[in-house]
Amino acid sequence: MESIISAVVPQLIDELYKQVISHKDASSLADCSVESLVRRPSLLSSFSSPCTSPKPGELYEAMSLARDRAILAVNTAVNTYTGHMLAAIGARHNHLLPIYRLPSEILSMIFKMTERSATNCFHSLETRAPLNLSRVSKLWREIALDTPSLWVAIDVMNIELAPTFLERSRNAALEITMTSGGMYDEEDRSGTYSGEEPERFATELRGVREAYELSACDLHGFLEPLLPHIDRWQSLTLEVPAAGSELDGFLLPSAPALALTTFQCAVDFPDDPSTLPTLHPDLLNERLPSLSSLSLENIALPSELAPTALKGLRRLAIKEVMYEPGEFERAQFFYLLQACPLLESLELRSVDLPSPTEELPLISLQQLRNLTFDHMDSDLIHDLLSRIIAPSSLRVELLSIVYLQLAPIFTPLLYARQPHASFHAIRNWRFKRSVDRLSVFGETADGTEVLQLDLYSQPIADVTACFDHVLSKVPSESLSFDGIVHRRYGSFFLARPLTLYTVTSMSFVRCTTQFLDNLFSNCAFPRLQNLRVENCRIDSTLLTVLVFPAISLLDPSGMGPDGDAQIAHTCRIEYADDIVGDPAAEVLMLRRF
Amino acid sequence: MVNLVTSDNESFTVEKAVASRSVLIKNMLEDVGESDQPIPLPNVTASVLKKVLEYCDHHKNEPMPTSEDLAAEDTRKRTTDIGEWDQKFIQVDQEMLFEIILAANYLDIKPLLDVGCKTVANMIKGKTPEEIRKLFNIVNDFTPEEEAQIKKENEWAEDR
Repeated sequence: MESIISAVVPQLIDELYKQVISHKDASSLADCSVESLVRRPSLLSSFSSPCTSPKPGELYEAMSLARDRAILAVNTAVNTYTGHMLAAIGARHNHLLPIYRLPSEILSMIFKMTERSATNCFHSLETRAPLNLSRVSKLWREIALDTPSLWVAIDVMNIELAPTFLERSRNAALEITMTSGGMYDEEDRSGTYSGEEPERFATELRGVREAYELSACDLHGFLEPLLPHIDRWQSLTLEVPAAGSELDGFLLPSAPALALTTFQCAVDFPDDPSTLPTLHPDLLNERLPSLSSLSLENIALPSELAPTALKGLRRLAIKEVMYEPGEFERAQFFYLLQACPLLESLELRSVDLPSPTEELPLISLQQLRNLTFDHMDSDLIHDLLSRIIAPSSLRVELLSIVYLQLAPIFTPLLYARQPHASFHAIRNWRFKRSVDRLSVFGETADGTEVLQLDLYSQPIADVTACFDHVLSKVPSESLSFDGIVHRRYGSFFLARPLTLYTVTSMSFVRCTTQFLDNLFSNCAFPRLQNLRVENCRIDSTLLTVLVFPAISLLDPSGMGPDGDAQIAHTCRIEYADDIVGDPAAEVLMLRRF
Repeated sequence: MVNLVTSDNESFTVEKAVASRSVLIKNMLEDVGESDQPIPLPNVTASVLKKVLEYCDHHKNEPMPTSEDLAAEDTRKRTTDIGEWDQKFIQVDQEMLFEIILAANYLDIKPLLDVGCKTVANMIKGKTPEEIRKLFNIVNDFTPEEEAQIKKENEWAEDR
């Protein structure tokens, strides 16, 4: 029967084709009965030899199938033709669009920005670059497929498509991420996410977490399809659940290009620090020769590390690791740092190392730009600040410091055996109060912040001690106060008289009258030349009185040879207060001594 | 001062510091030396140049990006944040937005090119292909065979 069908179908297709091009109704063949086809001599002649002559029932069935097959073939051809025509018309339309005026290299650049946006990895695959971009139009697809760097990010959401990404990324460096999305949550709320709908973001984050839970159960299963491409791994971020951590003793084959690694164990407060997972020493000793950034959270460094294991690091961040004596000695950590000459950033958050039993070495870090301590004990900070020799551009952040620890830290911080030269170049101390903290910034002449202290929940007396230390030990040319109130939580006041001869400029923004009163009553600024007061709810007359120094606090150099007061200089006051209702004004005050 | 002439023959006289935000113009000025000759910009119309000069004037005192800055930008993960002033500046219709990008590319003003590209990237991100088409009035121009191939590639999405 197949031979009958094969013989008839081309003739029927030909017939249909003629009908289509002569604008006749192609459905006429579909409407015609099988009986009429069976009786057509032209069709029957193609298989009328005696040996192939079919029985009537067989002929009827064959004609029916041949008719359907011919109609399907012609319909498919017509649809394909129509589809191609529409595609050609669409392409012509698209090439007239404004966005099509952009050259391919610029569209490629835009695509990369889309793919690298902070929230991209949260989007469902339907809306996520580069997959959505490759489905927009022919040109966009060509560009997307011709941009290997678009296809380098592999994570829990697209791991099922790893073969496609690995192929399309060609030889580009890979970025592998297995996280629950939690580590991006906070920064994205203040970053690019801010413009997106919270509900949509929450839904997307849930999607990531669900995908993560599937992958995190099987870390090795997640990495397995990627291992053949380990030569291309450039960054690796792994977050694992606490229970049965697969990162304990974690080891990889040699990854020659792997530069950035983050290992995180999802536990907030481990009950027993000694149960923290520990990376396999060989991972850092020999398997990652290009490692430049290492971030560990709730993951311990192995004690068997070679002294030069971290020698290529530019960034080291350790969070939530408390070592017990005998596990990892403080001196060992210092020696590790000593062997990191390229280190640019060191962040230690909630880290403790046993008190030293031996002399700690000096650590020369000439590339160090950022040093951050958060929730740390003072003695470890003290040891590090006393021994790190860093360039003058170093920025130090002391966050969440317990108040009792301030004083011991200040000494090495400001007078370390290798004092940071930049601290002597501090031109402005800026005090700023926010909801939960008082922040103190040391700024150089060009506005660069070289020191930041964040003090949380500080009793007034201790913050006062901080103020005393800062102002009397590291004098500056100017002082700025933002949002400082008097005798209230998170503020400070001065308990002892202080005369600051170096201060020539001061500014107060949103501070209270009581604070200004306390400051100017206890502290004299004999060489003050510029004063800016903005929105401090203080009357301008009262302000003038406040700024006038008490005679006992006068600058001795301003006294004449016979001890009389002389005209020293003028102080320019810039005053503006929206709340009191006074218009912005400038008062020139002549100071007469 | 520098005299710039657009494709529609309009002249703009601007400070050298403003014009020099364009690496193309800066190089021309260095090559030509002190001269009163107008600089022709055959690829930029007056309406677009006016916007570009507004950007250059606002940023004239900022340091020019170094090659190190550009390399760092390239490797940074978060690349779609735009400054407040720049955001307001770039709130223009699509046609003008793409013209600004083209002009920034031609005049070699990398920060402006970045602002334009980031704006387009922000418009695109998180959208389905159909939403992107609607946004830019793009027509689906895939042939039936290509459509079938894409559908096959995206079977995973329907399974999820």
